[in-house]
Amino acid sequence: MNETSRTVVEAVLIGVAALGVGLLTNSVNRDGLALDRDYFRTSDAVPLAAHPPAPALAPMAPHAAQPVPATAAAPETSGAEFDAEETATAARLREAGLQPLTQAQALAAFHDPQYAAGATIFVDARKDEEYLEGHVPGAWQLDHYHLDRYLDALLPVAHEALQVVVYCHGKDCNDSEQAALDLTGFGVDPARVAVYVGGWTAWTAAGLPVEKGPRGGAGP
Amino acid sequence: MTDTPSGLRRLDQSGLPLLLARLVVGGAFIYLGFLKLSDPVAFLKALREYDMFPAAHPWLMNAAAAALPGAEITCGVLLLLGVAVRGTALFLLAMLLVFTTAIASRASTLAHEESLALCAVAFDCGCGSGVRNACSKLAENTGLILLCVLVLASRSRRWCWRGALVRGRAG
Repeated sequence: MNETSRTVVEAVLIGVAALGVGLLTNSVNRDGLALDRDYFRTSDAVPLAAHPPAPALAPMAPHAAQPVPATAAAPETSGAEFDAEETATAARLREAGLQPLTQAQALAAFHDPQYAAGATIFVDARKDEEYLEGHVPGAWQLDHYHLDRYLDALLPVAHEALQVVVYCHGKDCNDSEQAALDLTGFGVDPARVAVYVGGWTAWTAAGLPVEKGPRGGAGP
Repeated sequence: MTDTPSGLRRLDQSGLPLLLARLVVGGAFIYLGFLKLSDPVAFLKALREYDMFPAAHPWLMNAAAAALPGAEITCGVLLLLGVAVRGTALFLLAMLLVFTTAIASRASTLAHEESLALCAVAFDCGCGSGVRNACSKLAENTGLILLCVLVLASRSRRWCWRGALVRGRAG
């Protein structure tokens, strides 16, 4: 074997070994990726595997005695209510079977008495550090890439809610879209799931209330 | 005429160029690998932007995003230790050529879409260092490619723990 051949053989061996070490590292990394998941699904993709418990819609709690149809809480929005970039995002969301919410609609949902009562919920689709730095007061968390950490707490609440408003950074991110599809994949009625297109960027730019730390405002 | 080659050979035999190249390339890959490893999701999202993987087989992109950071760190460590330096350099060279071509292609597409000069484009190339100027990243990769070529071309094994893993027959 000449030197060139030896180098090529060595490169192949090193490559296989290094990639193997990489996969092993990923498997022990708390934030590692699941190889068999489709992280970037569209609405027509195969639904997510069943997750316990995915109850049928539970009877509404007393606070939701006067349910407002989701279509009324999140009326069909016209493109004119979004800016140019948001309009494109809104169109993509509609194609995925999700309702896009304008800034005004998200704010209305937040100030609706149903929000305080728990019949409307906000879901933050960003990662842990960002959520802890600040989120919509009372928002639940659902990081699409690490579903198992959040579903047990969130799913029962989402199944009972009349409206679920999901957001991420803003119009450039699609984590809220993916998280919304996760929820519908786990049986939450798509008609009740909406995506706040402006997201966290628009929320903070408007000087709206922010809760820091874990949900419930334990932080400063 | 004979002075220059022998001068280069002497310089190579000193082992210093090889050591420097190993330190720079190995250090760079360890650093960038750890950055990617610290946020695998960000790396996965960046890989997706290149549109290089078939959507019908998402596991391919997942596997690449999962394996590459650890592979980069492993190769970086091998270079620093001086283990299988030529094979490691060849593997890194192959990766760098693929990465650099992909970055150049993506930067060119962005420049075209936004009517910008190539060197005015800045984007997250998935290289671990966040949003970077395209030309600066391409220049950095070109430097790493040249250093890998230097490692491949060097005949020296000074300061290498086990320079080659695959050995030919004696003589």
